[in-house]
Amino acid sequence: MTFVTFLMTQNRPVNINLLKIKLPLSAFLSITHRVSGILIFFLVLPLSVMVFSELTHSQDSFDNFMHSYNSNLGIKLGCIGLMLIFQYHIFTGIRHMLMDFHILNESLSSSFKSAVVTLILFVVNTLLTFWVMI
Amino acid sequence: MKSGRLTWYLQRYTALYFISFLAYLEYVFWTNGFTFDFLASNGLFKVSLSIFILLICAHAYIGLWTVGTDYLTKRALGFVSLGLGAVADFIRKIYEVIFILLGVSIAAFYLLIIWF
Repeated sequence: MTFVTFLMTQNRPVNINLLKIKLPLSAFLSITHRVSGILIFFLVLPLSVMVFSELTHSQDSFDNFMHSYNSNLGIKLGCIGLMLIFQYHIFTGIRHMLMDFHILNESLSSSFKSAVVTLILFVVNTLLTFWVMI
Repeated sequence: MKSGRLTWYLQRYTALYFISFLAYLEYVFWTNGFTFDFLASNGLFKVSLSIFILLICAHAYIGLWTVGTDYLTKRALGFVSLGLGAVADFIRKIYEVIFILLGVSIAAFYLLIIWF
């Protein structure tokens, strides 16, 4: 009997259903770290190839791109958005690494605190990014 | 070193490289500005960006493999639907082929643009 057919024969609630778990803040950061990583690979990196190609092809294509960036709000916000996805992955990634290497305590309360601090730092970082890039 | 241990460390040490590389870029862009000359012809930038791209592919391979073996499994997909759970191994293989091909393409495009 496979695990799945075992579940079919049971009518009791299944607490480990991934779709029914209520997420604590640290788990929210963990799952969004994964989602941002997937977005970086399947969206940010492929688009960055196009942008990098434009920026380095010639001085003219560089100037062209910078002109579109400065005159087209959609392109500007798109680039900032892509950068923010990347930055979110880095911020939550640093928090994960600090816990992996036991620099941050892995207890429930301290992981909640570090999650809050990470989010606050990311919001500040977002404001700074807009301030610099807009 | 066992391969699980090796990949665990590889994913974290590559992340340290990414942070250092981004700090280097921040420094350059704040002091010298964002210029064509730097992007197209600075030797240190071209070498460190090439390493950055190759390490991103390694880092992403480990991360995406982990995500695949966590969620694209009989157990996890079985919660969505039993039919999906039954073909989970096949779906995961397809997903792995797709991200490997995309990773190789991204690295190839970047290296071609940087060096040719």
